[in-house]
Amino acid sequence: MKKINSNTKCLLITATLVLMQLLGFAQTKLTDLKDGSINKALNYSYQIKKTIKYIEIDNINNKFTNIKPNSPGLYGQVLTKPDIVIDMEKISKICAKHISTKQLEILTVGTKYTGLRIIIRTDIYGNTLEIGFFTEQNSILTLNQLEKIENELMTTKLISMKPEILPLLEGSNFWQIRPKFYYEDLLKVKVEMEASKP
Amino acid sequence: MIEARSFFEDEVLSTMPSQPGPEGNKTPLWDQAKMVKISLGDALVVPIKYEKPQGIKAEGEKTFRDLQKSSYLLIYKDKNKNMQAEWVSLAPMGEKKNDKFVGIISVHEWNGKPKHAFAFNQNGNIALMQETNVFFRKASMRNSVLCYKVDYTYVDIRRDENGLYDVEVIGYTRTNCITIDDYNEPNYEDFEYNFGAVSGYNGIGPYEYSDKIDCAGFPGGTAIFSTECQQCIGGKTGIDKCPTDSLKKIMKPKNDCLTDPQNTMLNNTFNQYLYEGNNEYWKCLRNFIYKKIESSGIKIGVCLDPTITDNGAYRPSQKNILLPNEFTLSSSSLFGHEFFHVYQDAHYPGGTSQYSYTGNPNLEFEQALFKDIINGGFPTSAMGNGVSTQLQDEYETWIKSITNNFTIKPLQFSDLKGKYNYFLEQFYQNGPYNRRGAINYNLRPDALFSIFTNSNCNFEH
Repeated sequence: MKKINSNTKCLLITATLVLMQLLGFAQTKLTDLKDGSINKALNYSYQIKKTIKYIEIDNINNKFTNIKPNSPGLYGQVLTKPDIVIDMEKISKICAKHISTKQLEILTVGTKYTGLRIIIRTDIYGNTLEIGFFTEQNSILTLNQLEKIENELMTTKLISMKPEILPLLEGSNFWQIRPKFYYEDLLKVKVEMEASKP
Repeated sequence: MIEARSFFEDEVLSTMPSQPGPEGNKTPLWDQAKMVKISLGDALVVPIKYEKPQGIKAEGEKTFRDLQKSSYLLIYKDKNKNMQAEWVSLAPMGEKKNDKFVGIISVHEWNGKPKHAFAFNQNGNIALMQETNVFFRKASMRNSVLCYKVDYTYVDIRRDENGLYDVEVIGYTRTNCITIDDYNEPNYEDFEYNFGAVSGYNGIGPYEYSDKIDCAGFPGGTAIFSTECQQCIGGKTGIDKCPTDSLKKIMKPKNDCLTDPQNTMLNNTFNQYLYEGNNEYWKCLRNFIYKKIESSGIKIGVCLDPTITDNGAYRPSQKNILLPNEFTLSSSSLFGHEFFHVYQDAHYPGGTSQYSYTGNPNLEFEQALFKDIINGGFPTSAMGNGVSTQLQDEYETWIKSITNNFTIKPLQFSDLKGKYNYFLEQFYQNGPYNRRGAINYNLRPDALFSIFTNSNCNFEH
């Protein structure tokens, strides 16, 4: 067998380390990402905003990340149920699908009311325009997981508006709905999903 | 009867001249007509004399029955108050069973054009067959055949070899044909004339089919048309009792700032507010709010005022709900918002006029907080679209905390865990209310506590 010389060995080690770093970066827990940084996941890059308590994650292709939603016809009122219907069950299942049981178990230990908030930006008809994320600063989720969740949410009908309220939404730049999915609830969904597998 | 006959002769005969089928010309026997009650109100049932005696039979039946004894003209007003004239024929099927009509009731316009038909099976199930279901129609001087194709579904429940239940939804299509043919055919069978039977197989079966189709249009439904409130109520309408009366009790005797159609619109909106949806918790709370307003003796007016710069306003000094346009008048959500302010006016000693400036944000925040608690915390009304996600998260976490994840209701100020004023301030700063009045730190959300304390409604999200 041909011996590998020391230069080749060095190159291989370097390449492996670079590859591991690239792959590992997207696998880095959200809690370890830096405020203001842009980080690549599987295909997309995400911008990170951090405060002491929270972390906000937005695809850099999102257009409305820093724009305040404005619906002049609502005069500051907020539409809630039953004017807006959000398919919480569907979103829960998508989230639970891409978060492991072990992660959910860790995320629910010793905490109350923690979870993943999905920022859904839609047009006035409820069609999803873009997705963002918001969660507690100490989250162990990764960007790769968020990208998978985003991809699936973008191809799913999530929101419907009661037709009667559409005139109130005329003139809106976009509509933003930010449901939170509590980890303890997601864990229950995950357990059910696992149990129903053939 | 005069009105019905005039309608028939002036409008039905003139616009839809009879095109005789095998039965020849049809003549209503007005002297034998009788008034009956159907689900839509009063109706006139008029026997028909046919120029050529005919028999009628449903598909699969061997014998014909006398068409003259099995059909009639029915004149009534539909739910839009339009007069209707229908030629109704009954074709029983199978053996006599427990006084239930089994067979087909077909409804035609007077000129012979099929309108729809209803098939009744032995279990009392009803299938509605509309003109789109007609797949075969033949009419000649000798006979006429009309066939409907109807999709049925039923649930088949059976046990497998392990004793476990297996449920299968099975769909199938079958046809229903009605034939009208010569009276003198050899297989004609006479039967007892019993034109006046309200229901039952004895004779010709139900002499009017509307008792099988309720006024909301549901076959087998139980909704009834209330002549008192001129509306279809009960059954699957979502309206349990005459809503007009409920509204009347809390309205000023003369609410002359709405037109008649707008008053009708208001009635509908109020119906929706009280009865809409399947959430019994909301309905229970809304009913409690209504009852409290009613018992307080407050009489409100509802007016359209295009000059208001909002989607609605309640003026406690005049006891008027102001809405800017007909669109907002038809929104039960917006009405519900203002109606809560009426409740506050009824609840707080001295009314809420005193809080028109200092305390105004309190009243608005109390309304939003109430909605957020009963809605299960999301989407939140108080911290909505425009506030930072962080503030929204803090607010939702607070609501979960003060309700112990929606298992208890806050009944006193200490139940709000010391954060009420903080979120009131956030609401004031971030909402549209910073341009209106000032916070009153002495005004606690007692109206909200009173609802949760006294309503006895159970959480349901």
